Amino acid sequence: MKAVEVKNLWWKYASSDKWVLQEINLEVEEGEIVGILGPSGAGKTTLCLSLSGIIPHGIRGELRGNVKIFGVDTLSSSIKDLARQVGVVFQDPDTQFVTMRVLDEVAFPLENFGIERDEMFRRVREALEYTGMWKFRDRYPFELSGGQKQRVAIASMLARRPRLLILDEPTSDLDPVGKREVFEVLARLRDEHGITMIIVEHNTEDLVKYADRLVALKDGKVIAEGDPRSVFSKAEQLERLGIHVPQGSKLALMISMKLGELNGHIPLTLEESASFLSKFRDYLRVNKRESLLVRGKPVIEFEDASYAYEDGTLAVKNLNLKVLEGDFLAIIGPNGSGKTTIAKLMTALYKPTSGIVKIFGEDSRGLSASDVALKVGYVYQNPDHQLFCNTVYEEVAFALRNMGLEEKEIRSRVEEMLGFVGLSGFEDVPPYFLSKGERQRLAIAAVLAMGSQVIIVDEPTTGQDELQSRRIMELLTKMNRAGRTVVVITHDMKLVAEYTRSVALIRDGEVLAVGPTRGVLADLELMGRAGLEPPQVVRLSQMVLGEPALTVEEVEVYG
Amino acid sequence: MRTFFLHVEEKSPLLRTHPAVKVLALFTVNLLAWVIEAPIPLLLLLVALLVLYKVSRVPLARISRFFIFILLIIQAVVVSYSLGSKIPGNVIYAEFPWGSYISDMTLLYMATMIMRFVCMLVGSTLILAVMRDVDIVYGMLSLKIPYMFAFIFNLALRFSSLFLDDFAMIKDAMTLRGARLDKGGILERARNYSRMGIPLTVIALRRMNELSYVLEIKGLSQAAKRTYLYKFDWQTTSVLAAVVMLAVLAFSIAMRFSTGVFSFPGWPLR
Repeated sequence: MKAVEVKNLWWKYASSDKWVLQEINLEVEEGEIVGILGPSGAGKTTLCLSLSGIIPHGIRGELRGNVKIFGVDTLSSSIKDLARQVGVVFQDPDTQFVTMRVLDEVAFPLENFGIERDEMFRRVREALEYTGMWKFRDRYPFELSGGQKQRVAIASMLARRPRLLILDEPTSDLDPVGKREVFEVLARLRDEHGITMIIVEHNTEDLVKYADRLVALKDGKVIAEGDPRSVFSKAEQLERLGIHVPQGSKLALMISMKLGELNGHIPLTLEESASFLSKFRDYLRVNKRESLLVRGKPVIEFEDASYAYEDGTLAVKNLNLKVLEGDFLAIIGPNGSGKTTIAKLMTALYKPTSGIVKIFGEDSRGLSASDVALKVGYVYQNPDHQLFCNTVYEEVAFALRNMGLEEKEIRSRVEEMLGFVGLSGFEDVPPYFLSKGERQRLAIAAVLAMGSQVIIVDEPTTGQDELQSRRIMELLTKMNRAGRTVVVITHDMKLVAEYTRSVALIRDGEVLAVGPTRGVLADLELMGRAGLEPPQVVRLSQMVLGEPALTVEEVEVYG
Repeated sequence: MRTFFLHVEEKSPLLRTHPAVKVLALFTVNLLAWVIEAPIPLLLLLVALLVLYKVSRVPLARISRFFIFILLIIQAVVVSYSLGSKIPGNVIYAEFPWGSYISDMTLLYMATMIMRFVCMLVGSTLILAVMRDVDIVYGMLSLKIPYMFAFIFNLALRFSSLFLDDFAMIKDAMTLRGARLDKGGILERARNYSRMGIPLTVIALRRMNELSYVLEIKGLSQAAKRTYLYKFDWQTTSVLAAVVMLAVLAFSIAMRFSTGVFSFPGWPLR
């Protein structure tokens, strides 16, 4: 029996005239793993909602065509009945938790389905042990790391023993270790239980290892479908659409275009790519991009600084770090390593509980956050936490009014900043009508308008597709070239490699290493100790060519 | 152990009481603060609650998190009673063209009202500090309240703690854009804080939207037969605590409505 049959599916939300899904035809065999790719707004989440029955039962809109799950039409079945067979894991684990204890969270759906107590305990234990979360059963779900949270979300679905698991960007908020943890659980589910899975994912490098088939969406339509190798043979087209292509595949395509040796067998995994590249070792070299050494004076200095939260958690331990003027510094580390706390110490929002943090030479304990804001700007991970005005114009003008500037000066700065971030023409639009990428750029503009010499941006690319992520990083590069010091917190190692000048590697609130990006990312042992993985191209170039290339473009074909 | 709003030591005696007692305590504390109008008994209630904080091993310092709400309560009471009340007293300090005035009894009544609200806040935060979500749900079920109502009430409480986190984050974001939220007069502060309404509403709506999908997928529905993971047994101390609470509540209602001892001095006003 087919697990999923989608026939000529069209869907538009009641609030819009636009068809979000158009003529979707999809069949998934039982036990198959299908990856769904596509840029933001392609209709991936809407497709997941259609497969779980939330569309059309829970959301108003117009539906054409039909969706069958294990032979049952979603139109004639309730969400609850479908939920007996279908489990869904969403992108943000926090919104999926409805209880205050891991054990209760996994038991909650079983209680709703009327499972007897003894059986419930048995299934809860089994699901938590399967996902490696049994030892955390008494913990508060919100205090777990990103990977652990997502494993609890998966366990709560597994306990119900679904035949189909739908995962909507389950790893987008996770560090490399968290991503690996989630994918390892998924792989075991496939191998040991043959559960059918549909996985929406931007992280194609991990996805290709597990998916039997990929479906690429764009503007609600299927634009490519097939086994991963055939889909990624159209790598250039996919990249133009904002879909990330594994770096090894991209490198192989680049080589084959010059040396013509691919024969339709595009490498997908690190191992396949290494084997392919080693055949051309003599024709490849690493052409390192010029990287200017930053020699500016320190603008922010941590001297044995520590920070403990109210409940006693020591988030930052005896930190010694200097942020130099003109640097483009990435603070990297696993989830929960203290990166955001460090950023808040840099803005004087938090004061060190011991040691000293100097901001432009002044001890932060004597400074107020609103005064420091004129010199050090901070952009939050979630733009929704920092957009509080009725229009885009007012949003950028907010800080300028607080600074007491005249209206003429405010107008000129707002126009300049909106132009800088590519939002000219949006002045009268309410910020919440913008896309997430646009809201993130607006948040940057609003901070940038204050003229801060240092700008700290916290996870600016989380949940964004490849094109949006690049747009934001290019904006930060432009700011850095214009003379501002940029500090970016991220766990997207690919972007760190491509855009930043230096890296501070953090683990458990301590600095493991600080230095030029190439040096830190190429130290595999060090990165491994921090629970991180450098981008695929760094590992590939080191394995095959003996020296690290930070980007695909740094690998040059000659001869 | 993580409870609503706080982490509490596992040894806290209140943590171990029956969920129904905790729910009962939540209602009793708020009802008492509403029933008692006399300043001295209210003060005694407040002191008793603070002592309970200590006994329950709930760190008093954590109440500082709610300081802003206490401040807002004080401001709201002072503004509304200063400008809009007509409470007769022995001395009139100020009269306004629209007919209201401030007397010595106005000031006493303001203090009483502030104490009532503070009692509610201190009492509720104390009980919530030793409560987990299962306490709310199982407690309400023991009191024969339907599951769906108990679950929604529990969810609302849990959301209020997430709301506090969002509030703090947005406040920080505004500070980092140069806003001085706690400076200026009452109106200016109110205007500053009112801006937070937009992001708070948007975030809450988005969260509710996603949560509604999640609850459907997790099989929550009104019609279905439901089973429960836990069973709670009544222990002697819990029974005793429930009896004492009900007795105090009954006594206070009697003192207020039969004898008038717990009424505001001088009521009814002439």
